[in-house]
Amino acid sequence: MAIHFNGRQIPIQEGDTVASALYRAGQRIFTRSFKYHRPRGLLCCAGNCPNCLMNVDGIPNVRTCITPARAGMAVKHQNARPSLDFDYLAIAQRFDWMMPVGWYYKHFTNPRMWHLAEAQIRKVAGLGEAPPPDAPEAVYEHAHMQAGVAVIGGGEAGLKAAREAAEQGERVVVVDDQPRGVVPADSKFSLLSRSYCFGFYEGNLLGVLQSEPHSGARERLVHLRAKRVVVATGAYEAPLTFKNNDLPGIMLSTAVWRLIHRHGIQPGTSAVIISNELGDSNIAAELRNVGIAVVASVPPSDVLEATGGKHVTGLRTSRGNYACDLVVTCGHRIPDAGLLSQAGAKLRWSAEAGAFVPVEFPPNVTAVGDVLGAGLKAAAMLPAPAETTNKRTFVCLCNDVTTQDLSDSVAEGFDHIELLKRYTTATMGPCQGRMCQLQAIGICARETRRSIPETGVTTSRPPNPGVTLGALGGARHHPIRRTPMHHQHADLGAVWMDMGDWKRPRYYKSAQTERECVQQEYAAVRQAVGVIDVSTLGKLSLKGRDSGKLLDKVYTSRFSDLKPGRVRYAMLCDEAGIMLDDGTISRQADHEFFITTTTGNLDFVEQWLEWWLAGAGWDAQVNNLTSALAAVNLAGPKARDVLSALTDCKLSNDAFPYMACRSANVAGVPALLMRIGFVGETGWEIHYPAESGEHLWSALMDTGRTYGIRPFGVEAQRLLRLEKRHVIVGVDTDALTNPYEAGMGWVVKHDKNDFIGKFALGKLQGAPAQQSLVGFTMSANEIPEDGAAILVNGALAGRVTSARYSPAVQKAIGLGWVTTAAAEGASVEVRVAGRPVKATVTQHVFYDPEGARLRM
Amino acid sequence: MKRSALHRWHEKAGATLAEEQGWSVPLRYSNAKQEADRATASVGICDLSHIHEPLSPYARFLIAGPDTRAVLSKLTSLNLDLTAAYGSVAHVRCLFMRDDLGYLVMVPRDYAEFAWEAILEAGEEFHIAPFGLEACWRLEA
Repeated sequence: MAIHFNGRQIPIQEGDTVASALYRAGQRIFTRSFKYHRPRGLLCCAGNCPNCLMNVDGIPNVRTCITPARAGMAVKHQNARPSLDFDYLAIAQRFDWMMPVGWYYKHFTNPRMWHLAEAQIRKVAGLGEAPPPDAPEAVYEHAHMQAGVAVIGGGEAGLKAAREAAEQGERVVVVDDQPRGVVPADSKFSLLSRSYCFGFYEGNLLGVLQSEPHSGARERLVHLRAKRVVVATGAYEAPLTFKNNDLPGIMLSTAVWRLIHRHGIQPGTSAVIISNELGDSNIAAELRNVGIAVVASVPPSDVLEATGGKHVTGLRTSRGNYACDLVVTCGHRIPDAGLLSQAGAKLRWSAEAGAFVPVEFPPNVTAVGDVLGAGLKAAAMLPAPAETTNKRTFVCLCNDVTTQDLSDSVAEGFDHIELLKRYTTATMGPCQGRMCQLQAIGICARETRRSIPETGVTTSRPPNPGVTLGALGGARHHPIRRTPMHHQHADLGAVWMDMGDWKRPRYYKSAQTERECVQQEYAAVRQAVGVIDVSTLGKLSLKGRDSGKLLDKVYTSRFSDLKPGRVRYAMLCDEAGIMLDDGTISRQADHEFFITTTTGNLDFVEQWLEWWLAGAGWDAQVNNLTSALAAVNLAGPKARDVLSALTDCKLSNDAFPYMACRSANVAGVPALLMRIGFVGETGWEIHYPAESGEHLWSALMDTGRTYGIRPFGVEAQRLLRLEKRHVIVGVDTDALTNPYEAGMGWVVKHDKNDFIGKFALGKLQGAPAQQSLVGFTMSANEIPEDGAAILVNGALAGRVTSARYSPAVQKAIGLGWVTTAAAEGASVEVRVAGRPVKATVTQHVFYDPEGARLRM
Repeated sequence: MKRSALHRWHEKAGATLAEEQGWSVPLRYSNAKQEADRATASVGICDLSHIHEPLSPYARFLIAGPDTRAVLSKLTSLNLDLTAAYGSVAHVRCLFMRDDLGYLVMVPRDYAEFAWEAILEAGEEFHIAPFGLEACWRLEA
């Protein structure tokens, strides 16, 4: 039984963690520090500090001291070149004078210099590296659990609380992160082992991360909802501050206890104990029991510095100097109250305990055991005296922040604990302040001459400890949204594309290549008839006497004067005149409108309407019908022939002109018909109940067969609309586009009383536009990619937003943003496959500029 | 005939379909008695989308049987003690309503097939199976 460490075989024993196996095999340096690459060894052995982070089976930053060792594991060190024992980057320590606190802000004020330095800094500083893109994929799961009582922490107090609650008939779940070996078998409650709670959210929802829930998954994120939460996270020990306090061989007393009792390891041969009188007797006996000579026991106030290079070799104190290979620090024990704090409990300073203890719990949250702080005793003077201020006394081990750095920061004016945190990054590393918060508060208090309670604590926020991105993002359930005709598209050979959660046919596989398929679909629409599923459009019904008022307020054009039975193009801008969405609005009756939105913006538009309606006192109700309705667009010169065979509704130009709407039965299904033309041909958009989605689609396909009907997908639709220069909001526009730049100023009606964006649009109307959305025709038969650069005299003048080969123009055409000067210049170049190709800017619509075909 | 979002799923599962209030509904998948017994002994799921208000954006499932809570709590962190509540199942927003037989879940129609399959997958360890309207009538009787 062995693990592989940097390619070396390390034997493992029953109950070993990765760290304990390495320690037994003689490994003393486990990591190199974040900034100075100082050697670091085991410190806490409880998953609370950053000193044992390694890459385990390809996963970076694994806390090896709480990761059970399993035969065959591949363990690698991080952030040290070439090895942990010899790291040439440790030279950084010699240049610490160049790296004062806040050195990013002091040295890198010039962007060019920062970009030069950044690449080097990223190589030197930091933790593990993200797995490469070709790393084998691991399975991450999400699960939901519900409990009457959730107990966080499986120590003595936690298990006792769990048993008591279980005996009262509660469903109890215990969350525990410690490798305790054999957990008492107890069927009365369920135990999530190798799990930690990283966040406490509203309504007693707990974020729990479980490692290896079963052999098929690496991690499982459990959403645990509990009626009552019992926090039994205990107290952890923090380091003491003295010069070189970070050397390997200097360990917390609790870590030494764990190595001896859990793993049967003798952590050293001769030890010095740093402790005040209260705590030393037990640990001294423990050390002697396993054959470690206790050289001395000294109080923290007498310690001057630790000595040694890659490992501690001695301790200098005011009582004398001692040679040793182990320094055991009996530090402050701090209630692990982060979760309680997130839940809303207050933290109050207790001088007796030497720690902040949680008080005033919210309802249904309680705490048991050491986390309450009862019985804890201050272990050393707090704050530490000013003499301990130097560049080798480490407060924050995660980010290499020293006592000197903290003192300097306060002197520079960062004298509030929250500012101090952000400026120095103390408490912001992987340990999230467990090792350093108390000392940092102490130094802040000392330097500002405030008391510790006046100084206060920084806020605990989830996730704490950190969570892998895989666990957060790797849920196997990615919802799929299907239109009512989904399976019909599949039968027709649809090739799918994702649009948000939606699946839409990109094109139908009718020929060898995508281009041929799209050309066939395109040709059907231009020459005969085509049908596309547009059920993904947002569909809102608006009813009430003041509906027109609301639309006039929110949209840029006027709708109160729209006649029943008519449709109008609709654009929505924000207060700054930025285009947010577009669609159509049809008036079905005096007090009834039907709004369509783009697929992606439905939720926004619905909320936007509700927002402007709130408090206005208007009679208008918005109802989201998107999921209730199917919709198709039937378009092409034969569209009327197909539709008239299925409906009694009169479809002639006189009876049903362009931009009109009617309610009628189609194939026996009640439907709303709108005569609009996104693709530039005579056509109808038909909205009807989703449960009849397949029925009406089949009827159109059956009836249309003799007319050469074809279903068409999003790709053909994009080409058809591009020839008409119809803009797609969010594709051809971005988060800074206003209607004037987009050439759509005609949609803004300034003679309206008031509407959202009126003021800004009024100013923009007269102002010269910086850039314009223009059409262009390529000189050669080459199609630029979306986003390609547009050049004028070799200099960047804009970007392509959409480009396709146009069968109507018989050249590649496109839309793009160019500077206003370039827009007037007519001749530009567009970069295709890395080289510039000539193109002509045009203000014309590429196909049927008069719109005659829409009115046929 | 009107179709639920799961129509194709029912067809593929070999359901016997019939007309009910203008809708095509699954009467049974194999044997109504066995389907009802399964829902009584462990857990079953039934598509009731045809119980429908005009222009409803929702599909409706009935999940019935003693293991219903165990299945649903794998997919939602919602407090299932509530009589009715908005929540999510397999990341799809929905409305839960407690019912004499189990839970009635309303999900947006577009997400119905996804949610239905997620519930079946979560229920595999409890031997979940779909049941038709005939089994549903037996359970209600």
